[in-house]
Amino acid sequence: MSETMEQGPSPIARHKALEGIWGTGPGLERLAAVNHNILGKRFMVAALVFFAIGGILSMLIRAQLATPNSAFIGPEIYNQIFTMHGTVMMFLFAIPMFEGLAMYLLPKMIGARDLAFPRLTAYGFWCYIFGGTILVVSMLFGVAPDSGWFMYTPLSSQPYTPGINADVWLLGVTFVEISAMAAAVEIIATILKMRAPGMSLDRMPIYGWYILVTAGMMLIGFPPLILGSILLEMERAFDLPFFDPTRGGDPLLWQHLFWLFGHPEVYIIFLPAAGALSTIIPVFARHPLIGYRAIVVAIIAMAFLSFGLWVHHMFTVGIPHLALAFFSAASALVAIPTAVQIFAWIATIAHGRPRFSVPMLYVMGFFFVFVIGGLTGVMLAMVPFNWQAHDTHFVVAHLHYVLVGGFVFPMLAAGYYWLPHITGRLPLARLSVPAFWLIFIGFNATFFLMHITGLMGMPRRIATYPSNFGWDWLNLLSSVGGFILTMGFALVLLDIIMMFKFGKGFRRDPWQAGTLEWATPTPPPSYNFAAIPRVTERADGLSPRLLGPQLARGEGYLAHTRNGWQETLGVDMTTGEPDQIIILPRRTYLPLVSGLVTAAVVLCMLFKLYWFALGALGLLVVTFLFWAAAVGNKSDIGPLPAGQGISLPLDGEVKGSPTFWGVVLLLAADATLFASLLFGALFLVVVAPGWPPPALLEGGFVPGMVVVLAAAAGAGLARLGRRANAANASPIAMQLGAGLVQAIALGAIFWLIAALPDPTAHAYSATSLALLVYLLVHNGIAFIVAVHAAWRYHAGFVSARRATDPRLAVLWGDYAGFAALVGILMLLGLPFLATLGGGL
Amino acid sequence: MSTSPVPAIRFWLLLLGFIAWSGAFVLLYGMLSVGCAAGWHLQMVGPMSLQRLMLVGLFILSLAGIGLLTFVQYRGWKARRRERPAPNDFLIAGGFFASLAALGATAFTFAPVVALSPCL
Amino acid sequence: MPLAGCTGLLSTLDPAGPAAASIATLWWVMFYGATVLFALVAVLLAMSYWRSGLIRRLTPLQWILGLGVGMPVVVLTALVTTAFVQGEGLLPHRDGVRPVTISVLARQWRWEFAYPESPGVGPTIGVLHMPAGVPVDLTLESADVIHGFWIPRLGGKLDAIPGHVNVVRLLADQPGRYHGVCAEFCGDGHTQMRFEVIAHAPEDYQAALEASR
Repeated sequence: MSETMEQGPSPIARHKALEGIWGTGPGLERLAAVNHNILGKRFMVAALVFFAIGGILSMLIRAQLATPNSAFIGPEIYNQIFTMHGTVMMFLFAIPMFEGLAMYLLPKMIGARDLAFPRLTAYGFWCYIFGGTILVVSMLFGVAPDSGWFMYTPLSSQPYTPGINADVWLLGVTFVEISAMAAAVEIIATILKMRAPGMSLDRMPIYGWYILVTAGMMLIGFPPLILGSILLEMERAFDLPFFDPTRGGDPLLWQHLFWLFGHPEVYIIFLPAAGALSTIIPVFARHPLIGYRAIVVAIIAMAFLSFGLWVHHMFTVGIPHLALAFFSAASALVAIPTAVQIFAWIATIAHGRPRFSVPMLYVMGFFFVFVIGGLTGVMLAMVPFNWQAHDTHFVVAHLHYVLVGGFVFPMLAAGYYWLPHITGRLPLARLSVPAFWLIFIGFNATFFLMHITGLMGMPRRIATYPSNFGWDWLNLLSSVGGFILTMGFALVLLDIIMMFKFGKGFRRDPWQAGTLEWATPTPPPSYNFAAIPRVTERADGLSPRLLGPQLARGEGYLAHTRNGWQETLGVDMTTGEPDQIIILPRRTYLPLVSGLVTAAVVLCMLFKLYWFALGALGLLVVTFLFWAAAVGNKSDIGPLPAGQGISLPLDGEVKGSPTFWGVVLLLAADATLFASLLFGALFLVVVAPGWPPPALLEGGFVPGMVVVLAAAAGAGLARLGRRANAANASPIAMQLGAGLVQAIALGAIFWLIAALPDPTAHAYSATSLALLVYLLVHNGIAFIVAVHAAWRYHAGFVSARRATDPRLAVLWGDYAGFAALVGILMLLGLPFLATLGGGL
Repeated sequence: MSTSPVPAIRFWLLLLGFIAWSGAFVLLYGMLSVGCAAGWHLQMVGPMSLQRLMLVGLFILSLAGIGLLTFVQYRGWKARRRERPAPNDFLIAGGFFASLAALGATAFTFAPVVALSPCL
Repeated sequence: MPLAGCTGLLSTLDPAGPAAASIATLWWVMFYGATVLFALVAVLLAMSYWRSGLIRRLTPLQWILGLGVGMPVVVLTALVTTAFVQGEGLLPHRDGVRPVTISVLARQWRWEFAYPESPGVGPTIGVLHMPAGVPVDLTLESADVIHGFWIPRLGGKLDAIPGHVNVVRLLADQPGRYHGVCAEFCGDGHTQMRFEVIAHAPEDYQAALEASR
């Protein structure tokens, strides 16, 4: 091994050496970028493009509704427009926007050089772009989704939406969600494992807590929708009646799965924005944030409570009053952690020496708008009032107050606050202030009146209205307000362009902030920090102006370059004491390739070329194996100097590497999806009409036991393989054995599938089929991972020290075993429950 | 590899109370649906229906469980306060307050089981 | 109450029945309460900038536990309890009440009303006949997709969901004509899926049904 430690080079030389390793090349090589600086910005720019598209759609809506009996757009097009407005703003603007900001900021704030899985960042980006493109392009062909962004069945089912409109939504949005899941996994792994040395959890900047909680919510919140989308797409494509009430399905199952995602989603969007507020307000108040710990507890409470109120979107579906009461109470309760934050922010301003600046202007706008949205939210949480206001423009007003107040205003504050970091230039205040007032006045004119329109009885999603209901002038004023709002956004865009062109440069930390991101040069280099600092106090009370030059001089950890490695530090999850040197993968086209192949899978599904889709899926697995092949060492290296007199092992030679934790997190999300499927099965048994089913699975016990035992044996053999490897013996036999028994499990699963009654006849057999397909996928993955681990050993990437592959084989083996046990129990239990269900 | 003086489990202390609240939620909402499907609200047991008896029982059980958890965390927090301050003490204090909040949330969210119509 | 300007054929603030009236009252209570709370936040925020001396005496604990937790707990407990009691009163309980039953079948894109207690009548399409001054239970079913049954001046909405039967109880205080809409998005004809409600004096109800045959 050739080690080229550079002893004390000049800052310029160190910069050049690091940039040579971390930088992304020009021209086409840009497509190989995996760096969080580049990808974070790309996410944000793409999100803004989609925001503009969504904004244009909203203008069309307001143009249509400005006058009664409007003949501007017919209902066929209007339905596509409002469906796409919601879909674009939620999935293609809001989520990617905060993901992009978090990707850009988070590593810098916690003192890391990149995110934990740079290639995953890039893959997520491509999934987002390709999925978003499919959705938007469908509009140009007039086949955009038109069943509402909530896609209620049966309206979105095959008989009532025979075209590909609904498939575009289900496949396109699921495609985009891959990027959200990827972001969630790597953000959590990065926060827990890659903070600066000494940054124990209670020294983490508050933004880190917000993003950690948000990412955790995404990990649990998205799988129900992904499952729902898969099931609905299966119903549309293969006539499996999960949601068809004539064959034992239930449209309400879709609503539960959708809102189980859809409500936490609102908080997933709000929390990162609140994190930005909690960072910005103390800087301009010139006082540390009051109630840091209370806020941490509040956002954890908020995260959990937000999962207990999804049914408040379903108060009018005929659920018992007592059940509504649980959700009503939880919906009211969530106001308390919100109030804690609001008053903590006001207290921070009151106890400080506040100054005004453009970001603070938007913070004030946030307070005004969001508090109104929160108050109407509590109103809507009251069941009787909801019965009147649900599905009226009152709700349209409320949700825009919450989302624009809780996300767009804070993001504009964040934009004016952090754009100098991205551009290295300061904003010019001249346009910013009038732009704010246009947005503020335009927004309130548009949406405040909608409260009244709604109380006057105007339902949502109607394409036009007659003149006799008294809504005319309200709608006209709302439309005028909408155009003022748009002018405001146009002015902000102009302002940002002016800032790029004419903004003044600055040395460092223009706002006298206290967080680490301002200790990087601005604009930041690809590697963020020339040296990684030690943190000895809460990392939002630091002095970036002093710290920055020290780090540039190399006073800190990993201030060297060696072997062309992209090195950053890994730490213990809670204490933040360093425990490994993480070597991150460098730029590569692999994410793009995998993204394109994923797009091929989606497009084949969309155009009903199912065998091609299966083939493309196989190809996708192969591309992922190439990802793995690109990492790892063929010999043990042992502890290496990390600077500041300490030596640390590489991440490939420790137990708790980010890769390991990444897989654990992925499995947590996967388990949530599985739990949602089990919930769906039980829900249908208890609630759906048309049970018991006409035919039940017979003779399932023997193959079922084969699946359980084989999967258990697979898990056991993977463990034996890990143990053998730890004792310096070859794990190949055990791992190939694990692969063999997983193959037996797969065979038995196919047997069970063949034994099922016709899955298109009743939701019972369709659900059983879904369970078996889930097992098929997981025993299949366990098979691949076990055989792959044996191959990795054979190829020399594995030793007693370098044991990540055998560990991953154990994780997947255990999970597949667990899933097989639970899944088969459910499968064999369903016939029993189903007949009982008839008695229920 | 350095060993951690504050074990990673402490991180979970922050979440435990609300995980229990979520569990109570799933349990109560699930059993409510099952009871309505099975017609337990029509079977009277003394002054109340079988359905309400079951739900009130589960409510009390949830309160007791989360209350116990909160109490244990309170004791841990008090014991910790007597020692000299250390990094991540906050996880212990925060864990206690989060559980206390979860206890309050449990009382607030599920109290309606004592009075409202269970299946209408 | 400032009702002026809030009247309208579909206005929830122009109630014509006890259900809509009690919800309208709840709205006005919440509206005034929310105004006070909003003013409180606005005043505190303004003071934090310009008169912070006055509120700096509050300790962080008072800010967070007092204003952030204590105040909302009190307000929300009162509000939620009120709403539960009110909601309970709006349910179609059967004890001591003998409502008239009317079946509603929703389909893309029209409403069909049948009168099981008056055999041989109907179904009437797009027009709901009901007696005034008497509670009416409407059983909602759908023949295709989900629709939302809503007569804003009489009371809250309820969905008609295929495979399920939902019951909503309404009462019109006075004979007269009211208007209903489909509240749940149901496809291309959603906008047009309105219906008319004719509440008859109880003594005229049967005759009106016969006439609609």
